[in-house]
Formats: sequence, C-alpha cells, structure tokens
Amino acid sequence: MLTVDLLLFACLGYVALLFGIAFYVDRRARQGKLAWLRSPLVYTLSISVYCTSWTFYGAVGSAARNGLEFVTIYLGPTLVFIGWWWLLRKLVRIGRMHRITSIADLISSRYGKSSSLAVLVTLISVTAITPYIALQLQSVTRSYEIIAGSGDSTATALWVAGGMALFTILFGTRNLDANERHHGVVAAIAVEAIIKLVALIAVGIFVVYGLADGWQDIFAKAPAEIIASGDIFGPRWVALTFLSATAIICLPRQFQVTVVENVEERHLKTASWLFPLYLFGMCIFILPIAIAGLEFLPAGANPDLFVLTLPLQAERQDLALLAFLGGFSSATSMVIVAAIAVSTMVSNHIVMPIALQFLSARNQVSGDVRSLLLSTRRLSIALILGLGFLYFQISGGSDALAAIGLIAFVGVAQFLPSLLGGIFWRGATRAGALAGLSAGLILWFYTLFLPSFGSDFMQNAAMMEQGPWGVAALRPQALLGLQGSDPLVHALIWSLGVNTLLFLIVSGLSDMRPLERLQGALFVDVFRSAGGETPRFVGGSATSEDLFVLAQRILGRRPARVLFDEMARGQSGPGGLPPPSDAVIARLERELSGSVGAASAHAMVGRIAGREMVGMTELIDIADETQRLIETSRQLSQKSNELERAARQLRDANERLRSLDARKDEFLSQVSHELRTPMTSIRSFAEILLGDREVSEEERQRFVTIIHDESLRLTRLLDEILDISHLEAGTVQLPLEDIDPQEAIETAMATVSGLARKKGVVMELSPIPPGTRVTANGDRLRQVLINLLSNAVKYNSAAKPSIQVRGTIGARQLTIDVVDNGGGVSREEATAVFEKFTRGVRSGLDQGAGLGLPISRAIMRMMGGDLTIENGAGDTTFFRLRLRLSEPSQLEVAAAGQ
Amino acid sequence: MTAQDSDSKADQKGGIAERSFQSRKARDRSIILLLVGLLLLVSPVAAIFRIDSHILGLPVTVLYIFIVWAFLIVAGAVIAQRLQDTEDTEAPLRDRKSRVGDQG
Repeated sequence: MLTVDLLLFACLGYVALLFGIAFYVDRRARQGKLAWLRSPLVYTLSISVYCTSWTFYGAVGSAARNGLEFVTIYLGPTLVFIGWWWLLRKLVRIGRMHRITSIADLISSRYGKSSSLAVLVTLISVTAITPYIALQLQSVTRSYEIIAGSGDSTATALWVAGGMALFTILFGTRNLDANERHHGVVAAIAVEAIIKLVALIAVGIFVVYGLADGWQDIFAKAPAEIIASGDIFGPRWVALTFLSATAIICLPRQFQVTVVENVEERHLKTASWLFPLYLFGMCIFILPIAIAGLEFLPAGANPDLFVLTLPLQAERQDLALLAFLGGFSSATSMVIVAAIAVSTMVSNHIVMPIALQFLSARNQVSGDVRSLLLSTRRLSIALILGLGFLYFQISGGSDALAAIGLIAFVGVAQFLPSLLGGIFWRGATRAGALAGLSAGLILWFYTLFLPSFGSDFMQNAAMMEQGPWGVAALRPQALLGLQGSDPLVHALIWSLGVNTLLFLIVSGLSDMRPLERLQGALFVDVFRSAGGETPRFVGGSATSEDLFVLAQRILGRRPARVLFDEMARGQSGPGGLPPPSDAVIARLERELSGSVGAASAHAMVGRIAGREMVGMTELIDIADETQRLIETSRQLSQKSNELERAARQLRDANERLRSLDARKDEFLSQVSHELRTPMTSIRSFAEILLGDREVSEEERQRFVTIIHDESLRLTRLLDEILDISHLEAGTVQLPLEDIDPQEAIETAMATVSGLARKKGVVMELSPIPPGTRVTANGDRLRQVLINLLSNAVKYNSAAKPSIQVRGTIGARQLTIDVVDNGGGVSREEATAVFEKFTRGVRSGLDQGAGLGLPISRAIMRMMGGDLTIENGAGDTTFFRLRLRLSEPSQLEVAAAGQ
Repeated sequence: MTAQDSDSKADQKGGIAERSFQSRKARDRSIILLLVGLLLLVSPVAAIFRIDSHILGLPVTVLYIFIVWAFLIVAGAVIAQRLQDTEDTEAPLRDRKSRVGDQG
C-alpha cells in the first residue's frame, strides 16, 4: 500500500539522488573531467525541461478537455528545432561570443548594453514565470494530496517551494561561473528528463495494454468529441502552435539550457531531431491516457491528474509512485532552471545596477561584488519561489493547468520581435525594442494576466463584463470591441501585434547610438565576424591596478589573477599586470559580462576606464560588411592600377634603354670611324717619311704639315667628344651670369669676320634693344654663335652670300635668329642635323666631325635656352637661339616700354 | 584563438566554398522542411484530414498528425546527419578549460 511515509521516503530518496548526481558532476566538472557530460544526449535531455508538469499532467487534462489541441504545444518546438535550428545556432554563437547570461542580457547587450531594456525584460520574465512556477507547485501539491489524502495544501506547497529553493540555491549559485554554466544542475535535469519520459510511457503502456486491449480498443472507447473537436487546424490551433514555437525560443529557462548551458555548438545538430523525438515520445500516450481516464474513472475526476489516478484506481501502487516521481521530476526541473535563469536576471540587471551606486563608496574588498551577487542570487531564487507560492495562494489553484502555462507563453512571446529583430536586422533600435516590449507587457498584463486572477480578485468579474469604469471599449477580453475570438488568441493578437508594430515603427524612426550600431552589426553578422575582441576606443584613463581590483571584486582573487596573467602573456609582458590597452579593457568587460551581464559590466568598466567611445570609421569597418567588401575591392583595383602603371613605366624605361644602347653603339662606331680617318692619314704619311728616303724636302714639309693638321683635327675631335659627353651627362656646371647679348654676338661676328671676308660673306646684325640682358655663360654663348656663324659662312653657296643676325625680345626670352641666304639646311635634314656626326649635304670633306650642332644645342639647353631649326621662306631654314632674359632686364624693358 | 580555429576549420576536407555551400544547402533543406511542416500541420490544408473515420481502428486525424510528426523527425535527422558528415565544424570556439572562473 502506498502510504504517506513511503511516498515521503521515495521523494526524499529521489531528491537525495538528484543532490548526489549534481554534487558528483559539479566535482567532476571542477576537476575538468566532463567527457560524458559533454554529449549531445545530455544537452538534448536538458532542453526537455520544456516538458514541465504542465506536460506531464496538463497535457492529458488538455486532451481530455480539448482533444488533439494539446499537440500544438509540442508541434511548435518540433518545427523550430527541425526547420529553424540555425536560428538557435545563431543564438548559441552570439551567446558564446558575447558571454550572454540570460535572454535579458542578450536583448540588452544587442541594443547597446541598455540597462533599461534589461530591467524591462527581467520584469516581464518574472511576471510571466511566477504563474508558471505556481503551476508547478500546484501540480506537485495536488498529486501529493491525491496519494496522501487531503491535507493542508498550503503547508505542502510551502514545503515543496522551500525544498526546490534549497536545491536551486545549493546547485545554481555555487559559484559565479564565467559563463553561467551549471553542470551539476544540467546533469540532474537530464536524469529527471529520463524519469519523466519513462514514467509517462510506463503509464501509457499500462493504460493501452493493461486497462484496455491495445490501441484499437482504446480509440474505440474514445468519445467522438475528443478526436474531432471543432477547432483542429483552426485559428486557436495556429495561435497555439505559434505560441509554443515562440516559447521554445523565448522562455528564459529554455534560453538558459539551449544557449547558456550549451557546451558545444554541434550538439544542436543532434538536438535538432532528438528533442522533437523526445516530445513525440512524451505525446504518443497522452491521448490514450486521456481516453482511459474518461472511460475508467468516475465522472468528475480531475483530468489533470489522470496520469496519477489511473494507476491508483487500478491499484498499481508501483506505477503510481513512478508517475508521481515523473510529475515531481518535471515540476522540479522546470522550477530549478527557471529560478536560476530568472534569478540571474534579477541579480544582474536589477540588484547590480542599484548596488553599484553604493558599492563604490565602500571599502573595496576582493570578491565583495562577487559575494554580493551570490547572495542576491540566492535571495532572488527564494523570492521567485515565494512569488510563485503567493500566486498559487491568491489564484486559489486554477483548475486548468494549461491555461496558466499559456499565460506565461504569451508573456515571454513579447520578447520575440526584439529578439529576432535584434539578430537579423541591423536597423533595430533600443527605442524600438523598449516601445514594443513595454506595449506588449502592458497589453499582455491587461488582456490575459489580470483576468487570470479569477473573478473574486479586486472586483475582477465586473471589470471583465463591463470594462473598467464601465467603459466597454476597454474590456480586457474584448479590447476596442474585438470580440468573438478566444481570449488567448485575442490577447496574443493585441499584445504581440502592437508590440511588433511599435518595434518596427519606432526602430524606423529613431536613431542609434554608435555602441548600438556596433552591437547590432556584431550580432547580425555573428557568423561572419572573426570573433575575438572587438576594438573599443576608450576615452579617459584607467590604470591596470584599478581594473585588477574591479576584476577581483567580481570574479574573486584567484580567477582574476589567472585572467590578468593570461592577458599579460598575450601582451607579451612577463607576468605582472598588462597595460590597460583597449583590447585588455574590452576583454575584461567581456569576461565580467559573463558574470554580471553586459549592461552591468559595461557600466562598471566604464566607471573606471572612462566613457567608451566607438569611432565612426572603425564602426563602419567592423559593422558594414558591404562597405568592407567595397573598400577591399577598391584597394585591390587601386593596387592593380599601380602595378599596371609600374609595368608600363618599366616597359618604357626598357625601351628607352634599348634605344640608348643602340645609339651608344652607333656613337662608338661613328667615333671610331671619325678617329680612324685622320689616324689613317697620319700613319700613312708617317710611314712614307720613315720608309722613303727619296722624299724631297718640300714634300717632307708638306707631309709633316698634313700630319700636324690631322693631329690637330684629331685633338679637336676628341675635345668635342669630351665636351659633348660632359654636357650630355650634365657633369659640367656652366656658371651663368647676366650678360649683354649684343656684345656676345658682336664678339662672335668679329671672330668669324676673317673667314667671312675670305669667302666674301656679308654679315649684318640688326641691333638688339639696348639694356637687354640675358642669363647665360658668355664664353659658351660665343662658342655657339661662332659655330653657327662659321657654319653659315662655310656652307654658304649663294652668289652673293650674306648672313643676318636678328634679335627679338619676347616674353621672358630673347630670340636670336641666324639667317643665311645659302640655302641653309634643307627641311628633310632639319631634324637630323642635331644628331651627332651628321653633316649637311653641302659640307665638304674636310670639315668638322658633325658634333658642333649637338654641342651647341646641349650648351643652349644647359643655359635654360634652346637651339632649334625653324622653317624660313621657301625650302629654307634658319637657326634660332632662345635665351632667358634676366629678371631685372625684363623690368627695365617694361620700364622702358612705359 | 578563434581565428585559428576558423583557419583550421577551413583546412578540413573540402574547400571553404564547398563546405559553405553544403552548409547553406543543409540550411535550405531545413527551411524547406519547416515550410512543409507548416503546410501539413498548421495551414488550412491540414483540415483535409479532419475527417471522422478510422484506419486500422485508429482515428485518421490522430494518425495523420503523428505520421507527419514522425516524418518531420526522420527527415530532420537525415538532414542533420548530412550536415555532420560534411561539416564537422563548430568545434568549441575556445577550449573551455582555459576559461577563467571554471576552476573557481
């Protein structure tokens, strides 16, 4: 016989077992031996904390009342896990990268580490979780009473709440894990998941094959309305599926086990089908149990307890005990995880910011923040369970478990727009999230939560019927006259609809702070970013000591030491404290946010390090993927352009080198040819003089003269070659001075006048305006002029040869034209005459080596002028010299002009 | 440390392009599966099976829901398996032992 003693003994034994497991695993974890715990199976089982006592008892109740509708609560998560696990993967990755501790932390962190958002989300969570926890207390209490006979339900509930609080405090707040992981708790929950599945299936098999005669028999007994109840696949069906899908993402406890407690990302892949399979297993016997309950139990029995009452009715005490433990497991696992998740939020986002105001004033003791955090967490756990207990007392134990669970679902569904918007839409802003969440919270509270208190709570009934102050438009379950739908669908449409709309509209209208943009980009592009630290730009100053003290206060002495040593090694410093670089500060903030949440960590570090500033350009660098790609491709094309240009220049240079080489060869061969001619004649005459003694004195004289002349020519040639090579190489510097061009021309003409007279050439000089002065080297200018004039004299073949020299003053330069009437250089030759060793057609045999003009031009160019051949009348050409006018002379000319 | 990991990821079988293609493919498949699931379980199409008759003594509606459900699980498992074959990525980003606070 199942006595109260036996029941209590089994309960305590079971709890002791859980304690043992949690303790053992925690110890293993501390030793770093977690091999089997880090398996996808344990992860999946821990996710099944989704199946609370609402599933264990409530699903059967729901099936007995509404037929197949209960399935929707499990179809939603199935669809998410099978078809949308990459959303979960993104959440896991974000959680890992940013050391997210809770869903409130995620949302606040995404929207620029906003503490107001964190508080809001925490508030919603606490409000939504309270009835849910009450539900668990209620189911455990009721199931206990069923077996033990009626007792003091308040006392029982109090005991249950107390026990759960104790367990949660013991294993949920042992330490402040840098990642908020609780290995012991997870292990215990995995065991509980197995117990509840086994219990439910055991009862199911007993019902199908023990009470009834197989599946067909049990379904033959089914009342018609249970299978084909009206609303299958209708609006409520869709709404419930949607809600449950939302809940698996947004419920704080689901976030805790799926994201925060996740050890390895790849476990999600297994969970993506194994968790739906678990749900499938939980659901397969629900309908038979419900049918059997309706069939075999006396009318009026509570359908929510069929799982327990059926074995009791059939006098299967062992099965009843198993069922009780199953229900107990589902309730405890939910309460423990939910309490951990919510207490983390409360301590990180509500207590911590307040405590920060006071803490800094007090003495700074290592680990003081840490111990404060731990105690507030313990306190919050007690508080949350206390609230649940209070709700249980006030609501007086609602008769339908399912209804309570759905209230919580709609509550947490309010997170959905901000959450999805936050991780898929860069443009989502803090203001949008705040607006959406607030509106959603208010509407949810008004349309669903308030009515749940029951009719005798604060004249609720009257308000439901007529609306507050008799305003019918404000009736909670028919807001603005939206009637006709199910209260749940009504509340869902109102709260989530307004929430989403406000979120989108306000996001669209509001601006983002730089930190918000940065976080938004990091969250949305979490798979594309390289990970590691995000660059921060901290204004103000922080000393390493300050930072170390802060870390000690939150993490404790030893972990802080380990962290700083690690960072110091990373900074290549040998131990000691790392310099407070941006990277160190960012890393510290991230580590701290694993303990106290992003917003608090941000505030604490900011208090020491000064206001954080995110540079706009850096922001764009990290943030804007497209921008980054454009920038990269721009740099690439720039680089390739540069390369192309360099290649072209190289090609040109090569070309020039080749032609220079060719010209050098040509020059050498010409030089040797030019040298060879006089050498040959010198040698041959010298040989004659040496060998032939019959040479007459007169002839000898002539030969010696020739040898002498040729030697002179040779010397002149060599001088010229030297001259031009110096000029062209630029190794000689011509000293420039202000000279009178008139004087230079006259001197040159005087020099050539002898030759001219001999040839009968008349030279005329049209005078240059007096006072004109040019910048030139007088000797060299004369050399050029003599060269030009003597050429003109020598090669003049006209009948009445004459040469005219004309000077013209232009802008900044003086032009001297040397024009002769001897036919000059023909136009075809014009370009060639400046080549070395080129002589005009009319030049005789004996004349110079053809270096005169190239030398002259080189000289002119060195003086900043030029020597060119210009086309004259007819086929004639003349030489034109250009010289720079000296500056004062320009002034003088200008003055003279006036 | 993370950058190193992603590098070594890239070194594993197949090029980055191939692997990211496979990963995208698996993602596409899972979305298709999601749409199929929605169509079969939530849309008005599902109402076709809301008929009051029995197959092998079991109500058609119940059978329909559970068979679709089982199909989704199996298909999901196959897709996830594929993904693991081609993409045994997602090694933990950091070695957890090196984390501060795990010991404390």
